[in-house]
Amino acid sequence: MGRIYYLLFILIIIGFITDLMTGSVPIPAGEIIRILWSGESDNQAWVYIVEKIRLPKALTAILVGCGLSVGGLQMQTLFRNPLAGPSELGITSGASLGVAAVMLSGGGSAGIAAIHQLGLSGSWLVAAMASLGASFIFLIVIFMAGRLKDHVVMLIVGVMISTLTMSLISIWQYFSQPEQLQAYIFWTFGSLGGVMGAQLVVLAVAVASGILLAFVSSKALNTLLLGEEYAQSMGLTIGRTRLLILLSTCLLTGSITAFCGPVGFIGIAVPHITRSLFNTSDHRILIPSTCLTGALVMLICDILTQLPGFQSILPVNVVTALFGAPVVIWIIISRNNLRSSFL
Amino acid sequence: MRKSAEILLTQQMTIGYKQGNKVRKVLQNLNLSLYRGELVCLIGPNGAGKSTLLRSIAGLLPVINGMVLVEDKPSGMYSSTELAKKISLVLSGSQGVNLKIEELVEMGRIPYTGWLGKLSEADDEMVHNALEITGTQKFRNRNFQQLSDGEKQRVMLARALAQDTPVLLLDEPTAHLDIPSRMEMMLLLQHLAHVMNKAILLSTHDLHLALEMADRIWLLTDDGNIHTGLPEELLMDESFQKAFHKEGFQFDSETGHFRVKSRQTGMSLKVSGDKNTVYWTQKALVRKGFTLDQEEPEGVITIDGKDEHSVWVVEAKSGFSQQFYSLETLLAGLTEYAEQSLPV
Repeated sequence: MGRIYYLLFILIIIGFITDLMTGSVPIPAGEIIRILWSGESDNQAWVYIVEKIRLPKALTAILVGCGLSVGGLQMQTLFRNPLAGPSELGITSGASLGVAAVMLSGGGSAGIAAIHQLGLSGSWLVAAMASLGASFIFLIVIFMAGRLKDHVVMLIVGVMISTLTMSLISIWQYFSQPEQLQAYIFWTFGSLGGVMGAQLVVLAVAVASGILLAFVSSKALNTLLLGEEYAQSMGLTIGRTRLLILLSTCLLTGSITAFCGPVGFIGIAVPHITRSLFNTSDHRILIPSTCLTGALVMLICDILTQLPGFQSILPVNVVTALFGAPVVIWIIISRNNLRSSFL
Repeated sequence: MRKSAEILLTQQMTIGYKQGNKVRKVLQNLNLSLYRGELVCLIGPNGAGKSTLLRSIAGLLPVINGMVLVEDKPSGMYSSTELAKKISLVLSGSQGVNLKIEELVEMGRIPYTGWLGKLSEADDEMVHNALEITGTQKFRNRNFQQLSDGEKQRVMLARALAQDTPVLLLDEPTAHLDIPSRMEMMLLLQHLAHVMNKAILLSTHDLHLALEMADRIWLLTDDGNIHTGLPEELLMDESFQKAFHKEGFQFDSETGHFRVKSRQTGMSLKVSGDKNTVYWTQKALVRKGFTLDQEEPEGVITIDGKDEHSVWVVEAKSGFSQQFYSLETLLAGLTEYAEQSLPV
């Protein structure tokens, strides 16, 4: 197990540096290390590119990877459903609803650019609204989960809730100004860029507290592995645990969705990859290792958005779907212990 | 017998389900006691409320009225962790988990460990003992999914034992098990009650085993009553027979088995010959609807030889007489004859 940790660490460092190297202007690895180390380079433009654009983007990628994966892991355990994840159960669209509320109703001054101009308080506003929207949907899902024991039905309900939320947003869009609409559409493509300075701090604080909360509930999450009845018989207060998981997941999904758009597939795919890598269901191990795996996967996705030879950058959502969907299908087909982890 | 201490009792307890404002009462005004050192079997027809009762006692379902007292204190006064140190639970059906046996049994220590769930030496000791008693030590490193149903059930029991509680509740621990595994499970539970002085309450559909092994029976009936007592008492006052009364079946109080009531169409017969062959021939005859009569039979079957060389010679008062060389042809011949001679 220790060896996998080291391997992941090394891969993350390699991925991090590769991510900094790639872009419309390729920068050699040696220069990247020099810039990171001393903040100096022969080419002053490179210093600017790395420090102002690529470094925040790579850090954002790591935060997004960690946060969404840990959110997905918690949801899969709480709902005892291998196909649960922030986007699958509609939590992401709940966050989108929160973001739409800010962007589309904010008069003429809305849009990503406007939010960026709002500065720190604006970032908090969007993050808080997204988290609120996420918790609203999460509460509905928890309420439904109490009544529906069937995984597939649960998933269909999640998709329906998503659709419902999306159509609410569509109505909102229909009555919005073209500029607001454009900003919102761009936001839905997902982007790791543009999260800088104070916003990066906000995102980092939100993700760190979400992960900390998740780690605090790792014993409770382990207890839930045997189902809610056993968990209760071992002294777990289900209500409090649900609340803690809700808080953590919504903080993670909400803040990430607010800044980077609705990023799909990471939340569902990474926990499965981690479980099979580490071959355990113990959350004391799974939570840190899911962070590492999630960070690595997201860095790789970010590298793939800016493949050499392409001038423009692909939306990150496209890449996570291209990468994530086959992984999920592969997991469902090839891993027979997928069922055994749940049910 | 040593005087047992009362550990759990229910006072005027009414249980059921609340859905919104609607309350569906399943059982009402229950006054039940559970003693240390006793194995109690909860039996009753499907839908009588066995699972509801177990879950209510365990505190998984809120009781509608009345209360459960654990060691003279209402269970609602315990914190959830404290209650988890008094009552442990084994549910029916195996939960699917991707855990090693050892990890799963360690989960029983959850009420005792700190926020991160780290085990102390005493905890390890407890887990070790639980594995030992249930005989699951040898697959401690295997994955739960690789075990058979009987082994899974023993592992779940080990987890409950690791929880180290005076009261142990089990919901149909013998369901899905083959007969040897059932016996093994019941013997193990009896041992835990008698030797380790635990109070064990289990629900089961296996009347035969329940009558044989239980120190006390809680018998639920369809009309929402509950009879408690020694197995023999419940047989003597016929509450058993009444509870399981159904058309077409009869409850055999000698064996605790159900027997299909046979159509009494055939004639009365007497069978003599090799003891073993007679026994099984009689069983087959009863199943086919013939009656046995030693004094004044309408027909006599004499068995010559034994095992595969047996010859069944039938001589009836009516004059019917024939030899058969297998049990199957005997039954076919007799049935045919009986049907012909039936009054129209």
